[in-house]
Amino acid sequence: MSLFDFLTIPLFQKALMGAFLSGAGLSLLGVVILNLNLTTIRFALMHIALLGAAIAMVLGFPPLAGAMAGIIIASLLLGPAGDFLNMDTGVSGVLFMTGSLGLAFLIFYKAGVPAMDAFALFSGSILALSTLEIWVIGGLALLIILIFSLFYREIQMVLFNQELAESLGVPAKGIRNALLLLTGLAIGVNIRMVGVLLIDAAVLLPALAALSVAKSLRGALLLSAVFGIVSQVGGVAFSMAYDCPSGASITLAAVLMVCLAAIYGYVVKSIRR
Amino acid sequence: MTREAVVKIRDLIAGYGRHQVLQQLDLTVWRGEALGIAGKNGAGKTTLFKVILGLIAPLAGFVSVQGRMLDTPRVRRLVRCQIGYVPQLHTPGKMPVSVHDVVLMGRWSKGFGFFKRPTMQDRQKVSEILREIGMSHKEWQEVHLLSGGEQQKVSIGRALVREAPILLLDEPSTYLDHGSQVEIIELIKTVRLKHHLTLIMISHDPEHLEGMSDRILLLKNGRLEER
Repeated sequence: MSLFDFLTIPLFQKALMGAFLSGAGLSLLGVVILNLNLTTIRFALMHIALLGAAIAMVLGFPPLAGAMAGIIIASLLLGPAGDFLNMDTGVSGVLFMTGSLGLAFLIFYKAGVPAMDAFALFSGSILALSTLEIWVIGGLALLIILIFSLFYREIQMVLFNQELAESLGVPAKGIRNALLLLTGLAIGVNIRMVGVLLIDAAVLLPALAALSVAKSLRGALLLSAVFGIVSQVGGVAFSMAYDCPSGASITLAAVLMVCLAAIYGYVVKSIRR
Repeated sequence: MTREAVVKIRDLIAGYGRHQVLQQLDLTVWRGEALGIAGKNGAGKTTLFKVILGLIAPLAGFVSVQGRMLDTPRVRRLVRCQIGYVPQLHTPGKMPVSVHDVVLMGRWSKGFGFFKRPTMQDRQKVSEILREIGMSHKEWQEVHLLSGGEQQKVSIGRALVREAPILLLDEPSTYLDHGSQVEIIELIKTVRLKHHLTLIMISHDPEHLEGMSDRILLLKNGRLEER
């Protein structure tokens, strides 16, 4: 089957649509994660997803629903918890990560929940997306783009220096908490698409590539979306054409993007010198 | 001629949770003066700035800025428009942001804000200030590529573009090389006279405040003392 033959199959159409929407909208949050030093947060959210899945399984709900609920609650709590404990949000993420992992294992042991079923969350599949999930991804992508468009200047100030933003009258903590919630939702949605272990490829790597070549936040956000679309759609298309796992293909496409951006950045710097 | 108090603080107790950093602190800052406050690290200098900026509410005592008591969140928010703040020099992250955009941030709540984008007037004001501080030639350069002295100038520019009568400067010349220190001190003296500013500066080292201040107070054990 050629790539064009695949494109006539609804399953693959949905996968490509999901990849496009995720790349266009969800990748923007990688810029937030990198600038607010939230790299530990995504680990925390991944482990909280595991805890949520364990609790859901004990209560007889689908593990994915529990994982999403856990992520939403945790992303609402992470910012205020950091403020209350007088900790950097990234550091409070470590607390959430270890605490949730310990609790998840305790539940696995005491409730006799099959841990491997919960760990199945760690591998997602973009080919298994339902129409409803495409709508959810599309809605979230649209919301992220809308928020970044409406509050660009305020987000820029918070990402530049949160203390300074507060002194200027910007409700910096509220904006940070809203960004944390969006980040949590993006991670939750991407779990379904690429699995927990490959989330960085979908959320972080396009932003990493964008930040190494962009000259403004607006440029970084636009490039992040472009790189997100290219790596996700390119990865899915590659996986169809060459019969490879989709998650791994998306990841390798994103890694290639980061390498190319780094080389471009190096060449531009050398020419300027 | 009668002197007008721009900042008036009486019996201030402030801190974080149960930890009281400032205890029964009194302070009057007169319009047009340049006041230096020196104190060791952890003495409460930044806490005092946060109180004046209305970022933390006093546990007891009263604080007034420009004749307004900072007793409600609304007043504290309003008073922030009357103050230009130059925070301690920090290493900017990797986020690409131009000098123009950093100075423009100072216009937030003055010129633009939520659902109100920066106008041509805001941008003209930025260009004007950049000319004044001698940074026009770097207007579109990324801030993280500037030297420490240049970054401090940009920070002062951002405070000036607010057109606020009061400037708070946190360690304005401390972490700079000698040449940059001299430049920043000269710049502060010049803009103070040109814009008729009231300055409050804090530093861990009183020597860094000399040459810029009319008087210097020491912050010790949560209270201010004459030097």
